[in-house]
Amino acid sequence: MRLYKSKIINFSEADRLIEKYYDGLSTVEEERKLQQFLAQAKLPEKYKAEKAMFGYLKPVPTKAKMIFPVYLRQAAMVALVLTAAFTIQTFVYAGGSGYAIVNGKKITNTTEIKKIAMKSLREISSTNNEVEQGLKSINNSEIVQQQLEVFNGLDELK
Amino acid sequence: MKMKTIKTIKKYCILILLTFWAGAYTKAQSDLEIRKVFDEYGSRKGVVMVELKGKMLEDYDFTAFKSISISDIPEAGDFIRKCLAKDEIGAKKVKQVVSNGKATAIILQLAPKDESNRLILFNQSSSNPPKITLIYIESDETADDVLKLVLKKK
Repeated sequence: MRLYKSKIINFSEADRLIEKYYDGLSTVEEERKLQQFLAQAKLPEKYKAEKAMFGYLKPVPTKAKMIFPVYLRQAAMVALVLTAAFTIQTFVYAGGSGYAIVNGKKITNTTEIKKIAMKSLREISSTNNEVEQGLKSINNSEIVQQQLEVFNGLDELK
Repeated sequence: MKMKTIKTIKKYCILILLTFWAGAYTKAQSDLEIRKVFDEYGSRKGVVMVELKGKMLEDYDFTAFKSISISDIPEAGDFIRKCLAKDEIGAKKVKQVVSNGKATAIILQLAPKDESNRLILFNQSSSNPPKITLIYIESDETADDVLKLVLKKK
């Protein structure tokens, strides 16, 4: 015969507490001891009813789960999106891309695109040269003299 | 499939789309008013628009280049001038040519962005119909060097 030894309470003590429990006289501490006693794996059949009853009260072990605060999760999401955007910007978009649209039609031929780009640069530079020439002519003393002569008449009126 | 899983997948799809959108939209000229010119006239008839970035420009010392040449749309000139008037704020006006009360050539040196120098060049020819050219350049070189490079090209 196997002896059921409980480190917490023995069988006679358990029987006494069960009786007290049914009479509604047990204390919280006594109920806790009883719960520990009934939580044992192998107990005689006579404790089956109490075991089932106290089984409902047995605390369910919860899995240790790491829970991050909501603000931390949101901040992590924002950081993830920004990092991904920066990566795309750096490695995909800056990797070298180009296109031209001529009369609404898209051109992707690199040589053709560069030609068109150069043409637009030439348009700007040629005009600026014209402007510089124009400015030089404005500096011409002859023009200045002509413009000043207009005011000579005003002196004569005095 | 559980509703929670579907919701999570949806959430991640939206995040991925947002990421791509953010990557595509963070173009340097997107904060400028002239962006409207490219958007408005870029795909019209008689218009040539070019955009070059990254390795495509390694021969030119530019990091970004965008240009638009407009023919036969005279009202585009006034629209561009309005846009440039807004972009002028905080920028250095390198050159301006006024003809008959209208600016026909403008060169703006914008405040650097992300350590990149930025320039806007605008020109409206006196020919009939006028030909309008608008260029946006980004470069790691100084604005003076960029202008020297641009203006010597013939």
